[in-house]
Amino acid sequence: MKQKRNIIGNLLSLPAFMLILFVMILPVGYAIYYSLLDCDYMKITGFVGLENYKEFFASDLMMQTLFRTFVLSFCSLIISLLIGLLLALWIHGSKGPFAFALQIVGLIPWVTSMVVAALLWQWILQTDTGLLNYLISRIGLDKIVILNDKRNAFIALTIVMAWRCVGYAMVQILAGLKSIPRDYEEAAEVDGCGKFQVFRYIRMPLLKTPLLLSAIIITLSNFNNLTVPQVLTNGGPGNATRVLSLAMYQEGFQFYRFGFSSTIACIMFVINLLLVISYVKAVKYEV
Amino acid sequence: MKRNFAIHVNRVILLLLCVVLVISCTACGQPNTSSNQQQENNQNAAVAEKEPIEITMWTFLDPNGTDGRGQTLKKIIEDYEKEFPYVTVSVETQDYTTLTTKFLTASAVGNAPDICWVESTRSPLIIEDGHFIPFEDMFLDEWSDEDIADVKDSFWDMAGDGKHYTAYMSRNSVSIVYRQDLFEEKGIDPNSIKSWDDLVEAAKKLTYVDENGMQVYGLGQNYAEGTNGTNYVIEALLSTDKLFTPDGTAVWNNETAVDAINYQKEMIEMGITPEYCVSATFDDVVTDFIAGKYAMIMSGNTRVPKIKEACAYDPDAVQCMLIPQLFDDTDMKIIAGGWMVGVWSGSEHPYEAGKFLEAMISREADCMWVETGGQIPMRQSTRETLKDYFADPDNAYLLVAQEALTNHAWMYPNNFDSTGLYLGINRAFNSVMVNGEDPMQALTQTAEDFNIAAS
Amino acid sequence: MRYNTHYEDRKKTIGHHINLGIFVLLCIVNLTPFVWGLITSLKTEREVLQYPPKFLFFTPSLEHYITIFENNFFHSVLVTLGYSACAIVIGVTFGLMAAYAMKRYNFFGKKALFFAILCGIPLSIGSAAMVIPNYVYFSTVGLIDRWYTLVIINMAYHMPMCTWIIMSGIEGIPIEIEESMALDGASKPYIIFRMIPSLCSPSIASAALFIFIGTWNEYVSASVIVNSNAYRPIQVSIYNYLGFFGREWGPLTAAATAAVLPSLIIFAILGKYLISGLTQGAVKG
Repeated sequence: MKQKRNIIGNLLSLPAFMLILFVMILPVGYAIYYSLLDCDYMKITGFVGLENYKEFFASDLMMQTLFRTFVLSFCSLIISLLIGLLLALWIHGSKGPFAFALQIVGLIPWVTSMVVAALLWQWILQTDTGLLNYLISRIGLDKIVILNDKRNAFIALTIVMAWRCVGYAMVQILAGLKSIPRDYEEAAEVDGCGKFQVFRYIRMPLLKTPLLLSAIIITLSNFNNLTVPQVLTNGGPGNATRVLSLAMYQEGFQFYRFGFSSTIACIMFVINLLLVISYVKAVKYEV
Repeated sequence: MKRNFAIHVNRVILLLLCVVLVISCTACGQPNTSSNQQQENNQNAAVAEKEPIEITMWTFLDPNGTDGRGQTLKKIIEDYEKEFPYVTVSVETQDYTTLTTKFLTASAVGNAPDICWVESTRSPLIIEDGHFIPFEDMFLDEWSDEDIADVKDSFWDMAGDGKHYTAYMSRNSVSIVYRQDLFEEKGIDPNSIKSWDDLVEAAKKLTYVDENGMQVYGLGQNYAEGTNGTNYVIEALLSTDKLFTPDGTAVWNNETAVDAINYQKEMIEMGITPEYCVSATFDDVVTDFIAGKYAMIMSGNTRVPKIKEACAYDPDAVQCMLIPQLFDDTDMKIIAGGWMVGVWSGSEHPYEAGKFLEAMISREADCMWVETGGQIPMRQSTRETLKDYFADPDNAYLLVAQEALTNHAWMYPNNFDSTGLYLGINRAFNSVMVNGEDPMQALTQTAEDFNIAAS
Repeated sequence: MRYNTHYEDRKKTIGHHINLGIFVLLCIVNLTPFVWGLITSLKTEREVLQYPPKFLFFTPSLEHYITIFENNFFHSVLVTLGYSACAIVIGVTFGLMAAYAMKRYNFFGKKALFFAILCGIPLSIGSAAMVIPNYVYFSTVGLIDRWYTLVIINMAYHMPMCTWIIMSGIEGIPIEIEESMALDGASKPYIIFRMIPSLCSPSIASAALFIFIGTWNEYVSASVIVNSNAYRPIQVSIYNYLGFFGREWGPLTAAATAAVLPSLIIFAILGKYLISGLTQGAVKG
């Protein structure tokens, strides 16, 4: 049944395939088309070939931005995964309403509207009128400059992006934990394995896949996130927190250089695709 | 039996797919039919005028909303629809940050609305790309010289070819917004501030820690890269006219700018402007002013009604004054902003759309925009008509704004795209403050970037 | 012996306290913005930005909630619920069909479909980058500003993830069950649309949840691809308070708080399915 080619398969998958193709993949063609044009203010003034791409790769600013975006995505990924893993283990070990409460609290950042969450974080972290510094000064300590300091702003952005994704990582990893048959762990315990050893040798290998899946999704989500950087720091101070999606947005919506903006979009898409393909290779998924 | 099942399945699925296909075909087919219909409608309209039509407008105002500007728009629409009973005006409220881009794209693709609001702080160049129908082709011929004189100002003759394509609505002017109550507390007379040095002196007195332990700063400014608010460095370059050559080359890497940056640094060292102005946007500064963190800010007038509405202190204490002269020998300049409103060149009902635009800038409408909308008057006559309104000290800020726009406006040049100036200046200032770069070097870098992007 | 139990007890209580401490910390970190938003939304306009901030002793007021409902917020809620419902029903059905095909059949173009799903994941997550090309494309095919525009878009955006999740759910169902059902005379449509969903209902539920959360929080495409106020979804309504004339913190936080509630309710009800749905296989990748 699985071996023979069957038209029913085509028919069943047709609607989904058409939707993905016509709604999501075809617009990429337009992005590629515009990326080859000189098209300021949506007025096509000429075909420039790969000039926009050359401009991108020749610009130090863009290269720094690209590098920064990678660092940011990676750092916040590590934080999300680590905390997500710890939370998932904790929930897995707890029972009843407490586990449920943990789960809901852990998930809240993921279900809140991103722009409002980012705006509120910005408010909380403000140097003079922010809640954090208000509390710090009430305790009698010196105020901390967060969003206006190069290093601290980057750290703050990393943490807020991580904060948003912890819930997602937690859910994925928790699902992975629940799918590990109890027998394996019991057997290991009978054999005299400590808690850490159970984790290290039984759970960890079986958690590889959920970890990878959430890693890819979170990386993609961080890499493409426009709202949080835009609202929280808008690239500043200096360009300490300028990321690729922000550069893309500024080119398109502030300077109306649609050609160059599309170029950045295309480059981002290629990087995204490479990330997904590397993931599929890593988990050896087969069609 | 099994075979029958298979056939049965095939049929069901085929049927399902047909339904899907039909749905998607109608979905794709609909726009064509509807545009055909519209064309027919249009022809019919030419024959029998009373065929009901709909004109659409994109703006960031919401006529169904609760704020004064939305209410004003609603009133104007109601009056218009009474005069043209066969026309329905449908307002589609858009996000103001993406509105301009969306219009440019929609216009290129061919489905823009009949009337659109476009950000003018960007570039008058948009006009010349043929997106709008000139007023001359719609209603301007009916206007008397007196009418034209009433609206004639530096915004009116923006286009290079002598025609008029857009009206300037929701005008924004820049001035110093300050707190009268704090001025009184510190014994400073706002009228005594004649030069920038006076302003700095006042700001020094106004920088203190208040009873709640909050640091109050004398003068709030914004230097974030993504912001479009003005600041001292931009003001210095504007008033000395050292931003661009007439043909559009950025030349802000000059001594004036270096001096201005150094002076701004000094102001930060004095403590009157907080150090984090480098990452503050226009909105941040206004938000903090409402919270009481600043005694003065350099701000757009469009924000004054909001400040008065939301501040925890006495709203009457919020006042405006012109930015004082920066240098002895040159005049102060502000960047004139606002929204350009025009009738899209692809509109199928240019006559009705033009009439609606005309209604939005009529004498009565202008008074309404001022009174219920808190806008800066656009017509000279409105100043006369609403004399009593402006006499109220609460509304005096509108006159300050109009004064700045009439006598101190720096208009975006209409022969090149100057919109990168904010980014250029703010990025240079950020490099100096955050990365410790040399001012001249930083300015040269951003001027070069601007010139490369322009070429 | 007695000492020992005592010691154990103490260890337990200490552990309990530490757990509680971490839980409180987690609540603070995760809930502060939410709670601060809620508090802000209940203040009067003049108190919103007041410094020092008032945490408890402010004048409670529902004025911002009244404002948002006067501004047709409820309409946006209904519209968005409608979009979500349509996107869930049709999206899950199509996703189920595709997932079943991927798992149980071999057909021409299977690799292409798989590749499309792969491309789709980054495209949906990174839809902000494609907003201008998307606009041009949708205008060209005439899909701009219709009642079904956002349904189609949201369906498509979540189709890859949805198919993926259901695919792994189906993987957990032994093929023998299906074969014996077929021998008992069950028709194929019955197997696909009744039996499979009931056997992997958690996967279906979590796919539906993904679509719901995605549709509910989608902003970038919605703000550009839909023009009419009547079709405006909830996130666009929220953004409306970050207007040209300034940020309106009161209505903004009120709208945001009101918008989070449905998500929370649905999560509280369906949350347990989410975990077990993913358990069935998303983890197998």
